[in-house]
Amino acid sequence: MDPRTGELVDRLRELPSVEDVLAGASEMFVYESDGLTLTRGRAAAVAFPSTTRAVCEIVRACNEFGVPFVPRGAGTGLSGGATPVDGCVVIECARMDQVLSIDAVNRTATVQPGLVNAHLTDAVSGLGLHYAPDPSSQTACTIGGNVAENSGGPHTLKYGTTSPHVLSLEVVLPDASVVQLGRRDAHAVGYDLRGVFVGSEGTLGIVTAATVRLMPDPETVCTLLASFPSLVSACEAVSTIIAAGIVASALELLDDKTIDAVEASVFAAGYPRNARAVLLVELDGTDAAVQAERARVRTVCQSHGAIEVRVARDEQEREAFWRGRKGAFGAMGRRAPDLYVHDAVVPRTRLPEVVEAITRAAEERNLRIANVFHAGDGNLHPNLSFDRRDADELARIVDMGEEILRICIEAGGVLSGEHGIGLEKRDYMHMLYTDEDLEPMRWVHEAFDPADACNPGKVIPQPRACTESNPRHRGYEKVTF
Amino acid sequence: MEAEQGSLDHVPIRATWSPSDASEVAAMLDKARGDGLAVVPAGGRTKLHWGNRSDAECVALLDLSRLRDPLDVQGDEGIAIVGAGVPVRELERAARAVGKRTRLPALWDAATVGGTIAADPVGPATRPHQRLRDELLGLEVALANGELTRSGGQVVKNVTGFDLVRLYCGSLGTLGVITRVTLRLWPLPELRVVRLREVASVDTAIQTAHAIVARGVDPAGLAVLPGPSGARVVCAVEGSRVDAEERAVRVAGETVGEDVWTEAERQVSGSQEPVDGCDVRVSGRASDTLPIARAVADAGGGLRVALPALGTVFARVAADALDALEARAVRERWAFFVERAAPEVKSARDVFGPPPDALPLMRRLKALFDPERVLSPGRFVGGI
Repeated sequence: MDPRTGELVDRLRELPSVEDVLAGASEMFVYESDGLTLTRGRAAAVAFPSTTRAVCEIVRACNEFGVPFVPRGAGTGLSGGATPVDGCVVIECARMDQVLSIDAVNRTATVQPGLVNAHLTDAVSGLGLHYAPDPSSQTACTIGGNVAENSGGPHTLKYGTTSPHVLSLEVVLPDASVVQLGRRDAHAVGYDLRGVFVGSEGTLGIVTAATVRLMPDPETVCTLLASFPSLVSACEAVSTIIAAGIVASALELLDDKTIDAVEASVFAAGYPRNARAVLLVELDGTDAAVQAERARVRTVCQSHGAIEVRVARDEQEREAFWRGRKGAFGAMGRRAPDLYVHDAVVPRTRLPEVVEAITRAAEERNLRIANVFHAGDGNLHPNLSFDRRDADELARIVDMGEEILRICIEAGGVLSGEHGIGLEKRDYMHMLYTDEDLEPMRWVHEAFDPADACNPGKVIPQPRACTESNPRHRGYEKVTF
Repeated sequence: MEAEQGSLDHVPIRATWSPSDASEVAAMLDKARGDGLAVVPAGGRTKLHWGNRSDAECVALLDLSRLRDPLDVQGDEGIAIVGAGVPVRELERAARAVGKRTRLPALWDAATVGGTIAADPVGPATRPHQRLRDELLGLEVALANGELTRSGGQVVKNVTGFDLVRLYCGSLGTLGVITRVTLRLWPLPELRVVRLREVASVDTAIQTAHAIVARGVDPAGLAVLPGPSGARVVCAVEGSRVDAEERAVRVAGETVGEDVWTEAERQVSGSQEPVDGCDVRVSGRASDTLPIARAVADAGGGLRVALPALGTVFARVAADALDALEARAVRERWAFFVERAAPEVKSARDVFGPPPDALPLMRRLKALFDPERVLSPGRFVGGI
C-alpha cells in the first residue's frame, strides 16, 4: 500500500460513525467482483458506514485524497456495477440495514439501503403488506442495490420493476452533500430526479435512505405449474394467456436444461423431468377472480399441448414451485465452476425464434446453456456454464455474450431488462444507441458527478470517436485465474 | 411557418411553427437557438396555462399537432408507437379496436400524447402505483442542440442506461421536445362498473373513499365530488366479470352511468376559459386528503374534486388566498401547484410553490440540456 493510500485508510478509521475499514490484501480479494465474475478490480479499502453522516465523511475524505469510491450492497449484481475501480474505496452499505419507519396507513416504509429485500416484507407482513419487487436474490440483495439497478423479478409483470415502488430517496451526492430526490407522497415537484437516479447503477451518488411503497397482500394467490413438450408451445401458451386479457402476476419459463439442474439440486421442486419446458403462472386478486382465471389458464395450457397442469395445493407446494425457479441460478453451480447469467429483453412474441437462435449459437460455440425467462415480459436469462480456468472457453463465453445481444437487438430488443449495464455491457451500448442518444446520459452524469468520482467508468461508454469500443480488447483482460 | 398574433401569459407569441415531422422539429430548434428565440412546445393547447410566466421577451409556439404519424398499435405485443401529436382520444380508439387500452389520462378532448407526457397530469383513474411515467417505454426527443435522440426502447422491461424517459416525463418541455412515444397497452376489462355513493359532507365522502380502499377494492378510479346536498363518492371497478362484480359489491352504493365519471374528469381538467379565481392542485399522502380539503375550505376555496387514493385535491381559490394556502401547504409538506391564474397573479409567484432542495441539481441539468435557454425559459420549477 502506498503511503498516500495508507494515510486515507487511517483517516477513514478515525471517522467516528464508520463501523469498520478493511484494507488487507486478502480482505480486498473478497470484494474483487460482484455476481459478474468476468470483471474484477482491486480496491484500496472497504469502509462500512452506519449512518448518512458517515457516508458523507467517507466521500469527503475520498474527494480530498482524489480517490474514487464505489457503493456496494450485497454484491449480488450481475453486470459488474459494484466491481471496484482499482485503488478505490468501496463504500459497503450492508450494515445500514434498519427499517427507519413504517406508515401502514399510507402503505410506505422508509429504510436504510443495506436492508435485505426480503427482510422488508418480513417486517411488514404482520400488517398484511409486502414489498413487491422480488429479484431471485431477494434473500440476499439489498434495497439500496435494488434502487441502483432498478431490479426486477418474476412479479414485475404485474407490479413493475423497482422504480414505481420508490417514492423518495435520501442521497449523498459525489460532492458529499445530501439531497432528497422525490417526495414521500410521490407528487414530484420539478424534474423526476428520483426516476433518473433509480437504475443509475451507483454512478450518480449513494442512497442512504429510501421511502418505498408497500402493497397490500392479495386476498388469494394461486400458482400453476404447466409442463410442455416444447419451448415453443410454452411460449405460445404465454402469448395466448396475455391475449386473453388475463393479467397474471408472474409468467415464468424454465427450459429442460434448467429443469435438470434444479431437480438435481437442493432446490428440487418436483418439476417433471420429461418436460422440455415448465411454465409457472401466478394469479392473484379476489378469490372469485383467481378461481375463474385459474380455469382459463388451465384451458389455455391444455390447448397448447401441456403434458400436465398442476395447481399448487397449499402454500408449501407453492413455495416449492418458486424455490425451484428462484434457486435455478444456484442450481447451475452443479454444471460448472462458473456461471454467466445473461439478461436481455425482446418483444414477447419473438421469444421462441430468439431462444432458438441463441441455443444454436451456443451449440456452435460448444457452450453449455440453460434458459430461464420472465416470459410475460420477453425478458430472457440465458445461463452459460463455464470454467474460467479454460482460457479458450472463456473467450467463447465473451463472444457468446456479444452474440446474444446482437440476436436480441436484431429482434427489436434491448441490452438489459433488469441486471443493468455496469461494466459488462457498457461497451455494447453503441449497439443500441448512437453517440447523440447517449449524450443526454452524459449530461445527467455531469450534473450529478462533474468530477467523475462515484463509481467511474460504468454504464456510459466513451464517445465512439474517443476510443475503440471493443470489450474483447478492454475490460475482460482483468479476468484472473 | 405561419405568423400568429397572441400571447402566452402576456408574453408575445412572435410566430407559430407547425412542423410536419420530427426532423423538422429538430431543425426548428436548431434555428431558434441560432436566432436566440425562445420556443414553447404545444400539443392540443389544453395545458398551455400550466407553468410560470416565461422570462423571454417573446416566444415562438412550436405546434406539434401535425406529428400524427405513426399510430402503430401492436395488440399482440401490448405496445403502441405513436407520434407526439396524436390525440390521446385517437390512441384510445385505435387501442380499443384491438381489445386494448392506454392508461394515459384522457382528461381533455384535444390533449395529445406528447403534451400529456410533458405535463404529466393526474386524474381520477391514476393509481398510486401506476403513474403515467410507468406507462412509457421509449421516447424520441428533439433536443435544444438540434439533435433528434432516442431513449428507452420498444419492450416492456428495460434498464439500458439512465432512465431518461422518466426525466422527460413531466418536464413541461424544458429539456427537450417529445416527437414520438412508445407506450404500454393493457387489456380492455371485461366489465367496468361505476358506483356512486352520496353522503352528507366532503369529510364523510373522503373517509368513505378511504374505507373503500381499505376493503381491498383496488379501484380503477376514485373521486370525491361536492354535491348539492353534501358530497359524492365515485368509484370505478373493472376487470373480469366475476372480479368486477365482486368488488362493486364491496364499494356499495348505486351503479351509475359513465356521465358521473366524466364529470369527475371534467372537474380535474378545469375550465378551458379564464375564470374568476385560481385553479390549484394541492397534494400530499393519501391520509392528507382530508386535511387538505379542510385547508382549502379554510382558505375560502371551493372544492372541485378530490382524489383520496392519491392524496390530491383540486380546488378554486381567490388570488388573495393563495399565499395563506401555500404557506399552510409548506408547513404540512404538501405539494402546491397553481394550475391556472391570471398572468398578473402568475408574474408575482412561482406557480409550483417553493422549489425542492434538489433545485440546484435541476438547474445544472437544464444548463446542460439547454444552455441557451431555448426551451420554455422560466416556465418550470424555480424559474428553470
